[in-house]
Amino acid sequence: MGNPRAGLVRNSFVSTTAPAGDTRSDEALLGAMALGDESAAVAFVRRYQRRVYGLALAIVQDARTAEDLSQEALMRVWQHSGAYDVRRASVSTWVLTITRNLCIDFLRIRRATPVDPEALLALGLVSPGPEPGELAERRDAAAAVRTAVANLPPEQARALMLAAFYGLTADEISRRESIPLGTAKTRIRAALAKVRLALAAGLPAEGVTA
Amino acid sequence: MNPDGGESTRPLSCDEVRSRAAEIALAIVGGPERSAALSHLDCCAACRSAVDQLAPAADTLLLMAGEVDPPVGFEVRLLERLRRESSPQPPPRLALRAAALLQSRKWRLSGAVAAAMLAAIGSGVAVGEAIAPATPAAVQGGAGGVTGPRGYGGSSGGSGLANVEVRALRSGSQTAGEVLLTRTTPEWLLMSVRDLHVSAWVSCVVSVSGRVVSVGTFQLQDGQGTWSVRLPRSWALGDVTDARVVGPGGAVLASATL
Repeated sequence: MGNPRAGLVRNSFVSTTAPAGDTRSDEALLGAMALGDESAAVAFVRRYQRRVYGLALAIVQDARTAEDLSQEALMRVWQHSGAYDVRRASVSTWVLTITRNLCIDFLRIRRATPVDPEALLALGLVSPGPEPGELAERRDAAAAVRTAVANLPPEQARALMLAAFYGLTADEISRRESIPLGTAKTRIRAALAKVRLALAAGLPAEGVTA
Repeated sequence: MNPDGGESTRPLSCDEVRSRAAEIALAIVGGPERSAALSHLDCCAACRSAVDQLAPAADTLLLMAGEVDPPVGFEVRLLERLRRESSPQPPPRLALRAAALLQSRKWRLSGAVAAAMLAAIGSGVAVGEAIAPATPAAVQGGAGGVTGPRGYGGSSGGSGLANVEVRALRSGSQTAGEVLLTRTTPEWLLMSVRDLHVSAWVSCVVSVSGRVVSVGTFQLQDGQGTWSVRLPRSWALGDVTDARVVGPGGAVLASATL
């Protein structure tokens, strides 16, 4: 696929007006971005900025830092848009993982203490936006995973949040929670297995044996 | 230690990988263990399947954060940056200004060091990325950038001489290099070290708003090294008050007050 960045340098943005509701798929937008299509970049940013910023804000808990990290995340998406591999993950997963990793790197450099995972569990539901159909799907997925996590035993939910949002290893979680390493690993493993089964079955995690 | 200098690790068994499948799916396995796990997954379809089953659930967790409207102007600022970085450009005005400063006799910078620093300003070196040792070709490239066309208006944030600070890096009573700080958003810190008589990985540590923060590590060879780092945007201009080179044992090898 070559160097996507090099392609962009050769094909600098073609200034076009982005349609109000671009119907192209995420993958198509990424492909167009890699070729220097500004309208695709505009549409992509509009589609993802609230999700990216929402995730960054949830992790770093500071509006200014969250904006910086969100901008950096979307820049990286653009820089690597030509290298996106649809077989490995959805665009949404790819973008949010980039965002999460940037936030984790930031917290580690600052040696910041992750916020209490209970705060993440208390976050509000997805707020309304301009794309009703797709948004409804996302809201359903978010609600399903929130329900699944909320139904986990609290100690398992905490371990899972610390791992998923703050990138803490089992060892770090064991020290933070003052529990044996084996217990931390068990909590992570059990929690994720329950969430997986709950999502697959459309059931709350408490009704799932993992 | 392996021949590359990294920590060696033993291969993992299927049982070991499957017991860590959740941690692998959550991407919280790091270092040599991660490398061993990935190597195992490359050649074991059963274990790969175990991880693949958990990965979508791990990914879906991130949706819990929900969606939040970013601050006003977010989109405009981002698209402006995309446009700026997507088009072939002459070096920013900042680089032109810095060129004059870096090449001034006052700081006695070699052409190679100045070119490396300018390349870092003009091309956007990643955080903590060391600048390759300056070769004749690199020097030539840097010099070409310095003499770019006039009239370019795409500077990313201020461009006067006041936006570049250069301070001597001191080791005792000796000058051991220079530190350059761009007063832009984000700020860039560039460091050129010489005559420290050390060949080792050292840390660059800065004082920011009363806190001491390591912003990266770099390698000194025969007491010399040049590197740059883009400081977090969240740091306000002027927050960084000094920069230090800290050796492997924690000793301050050189410092500069900014």
